[in-house]
Amino acid sequence: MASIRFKNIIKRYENGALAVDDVSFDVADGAFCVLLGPSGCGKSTLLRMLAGLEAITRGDVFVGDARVNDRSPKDRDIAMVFQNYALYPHLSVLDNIAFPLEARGVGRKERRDRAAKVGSSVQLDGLLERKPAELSGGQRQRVALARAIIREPKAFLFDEPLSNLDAKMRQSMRAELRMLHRRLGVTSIYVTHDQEEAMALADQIVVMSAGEVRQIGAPMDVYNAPADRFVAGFVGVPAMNFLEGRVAIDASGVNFVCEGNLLPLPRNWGEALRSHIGTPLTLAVRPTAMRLTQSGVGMSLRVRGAELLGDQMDLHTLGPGNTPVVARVSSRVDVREGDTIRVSCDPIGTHIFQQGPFGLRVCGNWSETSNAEPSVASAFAAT
Amino acid sequence: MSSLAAPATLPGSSSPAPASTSASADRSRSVFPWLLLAPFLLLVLVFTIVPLFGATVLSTQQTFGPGTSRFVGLSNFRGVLSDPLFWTAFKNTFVFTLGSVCVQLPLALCFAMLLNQPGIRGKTFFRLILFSPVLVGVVYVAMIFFVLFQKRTGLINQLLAGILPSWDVGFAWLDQYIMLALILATLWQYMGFNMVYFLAALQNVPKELNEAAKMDGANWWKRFRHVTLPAITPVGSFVVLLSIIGSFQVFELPFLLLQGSTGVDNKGLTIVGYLYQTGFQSGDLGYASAIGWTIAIVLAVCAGLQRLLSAGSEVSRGGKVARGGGAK
Repeated sequence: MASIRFKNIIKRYENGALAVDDVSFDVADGAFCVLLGPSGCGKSTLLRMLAGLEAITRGDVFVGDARVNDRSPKDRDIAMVFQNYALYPHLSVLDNIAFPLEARGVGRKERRDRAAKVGSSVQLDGLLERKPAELSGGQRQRVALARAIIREPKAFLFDEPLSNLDAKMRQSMRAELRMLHRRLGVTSIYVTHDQEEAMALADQIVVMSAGEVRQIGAPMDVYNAPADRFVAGFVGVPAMNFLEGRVAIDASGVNFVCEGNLLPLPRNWGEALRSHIGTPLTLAVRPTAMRLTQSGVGMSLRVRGAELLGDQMDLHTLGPGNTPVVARVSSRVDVREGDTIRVSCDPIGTHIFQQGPFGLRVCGNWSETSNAEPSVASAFAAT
Repeated sequence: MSSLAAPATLPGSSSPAPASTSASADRSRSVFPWLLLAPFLLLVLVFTIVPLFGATVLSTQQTFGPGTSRFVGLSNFRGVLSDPLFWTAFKNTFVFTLGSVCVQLPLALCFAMLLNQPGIRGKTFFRLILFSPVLVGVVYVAMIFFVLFQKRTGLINQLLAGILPSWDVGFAWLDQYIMLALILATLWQYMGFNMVYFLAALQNVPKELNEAAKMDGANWWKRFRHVTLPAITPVGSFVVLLSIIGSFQVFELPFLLLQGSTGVDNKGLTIVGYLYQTGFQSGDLGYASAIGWTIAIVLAVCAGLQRLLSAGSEVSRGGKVARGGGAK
């Protein structure tokens, strides 16, 4: 086991495209770190640079204390699990698992014994003599895992390993991966664009966009206190609602003014927002923070449709200025298309960001609002 | 309970299909594909099926020119199998085939692998250079190599004498070593052509498999053996079969290089050359047809072996199961 360190990593391709732009962060020994971001954000490139499969334009990569930039992939003591499993199609499951040992010259008997033991540890008993094409997707991914485990590497790298599996299998493999990590305790770096997967697996999430790191933190920190508007929009399902407007502070309190609507904010946000009075800002509210209200307070939303999810449903609505707004409410509520509903917003899950796609967070989150007056903090009154 | 409809628009119901289709429309639908196929089928019938049938009939007859013939049953085949000249031709053709397959194809694979390396500059240029000889007509190839293989004045002897001082510039390529000369000439002409096949196969080798093998610590040979070779085997076996078929049919090049003769001690006699000799010079078209059928049978055996090998490699990769959707 070893810690991993990325120091000022830059990757520029020959055509001039900048894939990774000055990325630096550490992954603690034994941690499960997830690189999360949309396609093309540079997360896989970063992983491949760590694996030695991609040249680093500038910067240093450390595995433990050793700088590994100039080491070949096999000398970095890192194992990788690929999205398409990358199993040798003509070899049996046992030989696939044993392949890294064969490549290192381990004797036939020893490598077969060890492969059988590792195969058994990932529930591949009875499948060891089969060819990869005779296995289901989940079984193939287990073979790929076993092939990584048998090397007893310092770190595991996972490049979207569950993308090819169906939803049910993905969920079950996710749990297995988490248990495997707990059992082995090996430092793991996992690339995915699926934020649910990231939340479920990670000790540490690194959110990336356009080759840059947008936020590093524990899953709940990233969820509760997104560093910028991009992270807020990317993490969480359904995605956050964004309303453009300005902040006004007067005797009546702190308000967010949006398309003529006056939306009260918690009083204790005033200090953080004072320097932003008059400047364009973005109000972000999680759909799960929307509460249907019968009283006169709250924001008016015109319902366009709904998605039933079982106990809950997502109401697709139009808010102030015809901005699309999604509210997750109980599916027992009787609402029809064309109805106007009023919602209040829980401050847990409400944030203010500077404008722009990467606008920084000005204030929000539950810890900052913990002293807020509930009556004010829990509702936006539509005007 | 929500009474709200889901926002997604349900697919609209399509208008029902017509209850019945007219019989004439049915007929035209069934005739039209045959009309499109007709020119091709006509050509196949006239130039493949009828000659095949004719050759089969001919192979059971002894002919004296195109006009006179008598039925001899399978004695033409017995004659072919006990004909020392046929076996000389077979041996020569076999040596040529072996040389072509064992020298030309590995070399083609090597060049393909070189050109498949990332970061090689001028790939298109090298591909063109290596492929271009196949565009040269056989007559020109024969003319070029006739000059190159000359004793004393030939460039190849001159070149070898320059490299190896002990080399005899009077080395008789076209007299004593005609098959070697043929192998070299066809190597020049067809190596690039086969390289293109291998290059296409190599470009389909899964990149992730190679990367996984690199991370697993596999050296070049192990990566070639466990990743590249299994991936290119289907194309490889097809190229081998094509090469065997082409080599067994070799005729023009030795005919032109030896200026119509069969060389010293029939060293340049090939099976098709012998077929030409008996059929069109001696006039025994029946015997020539029997030789033709013998070649066809040998090639059919080769094709059968190739199919078996391909099927074997597919099974070993689990391809059949994969097509079935994969067992759970």
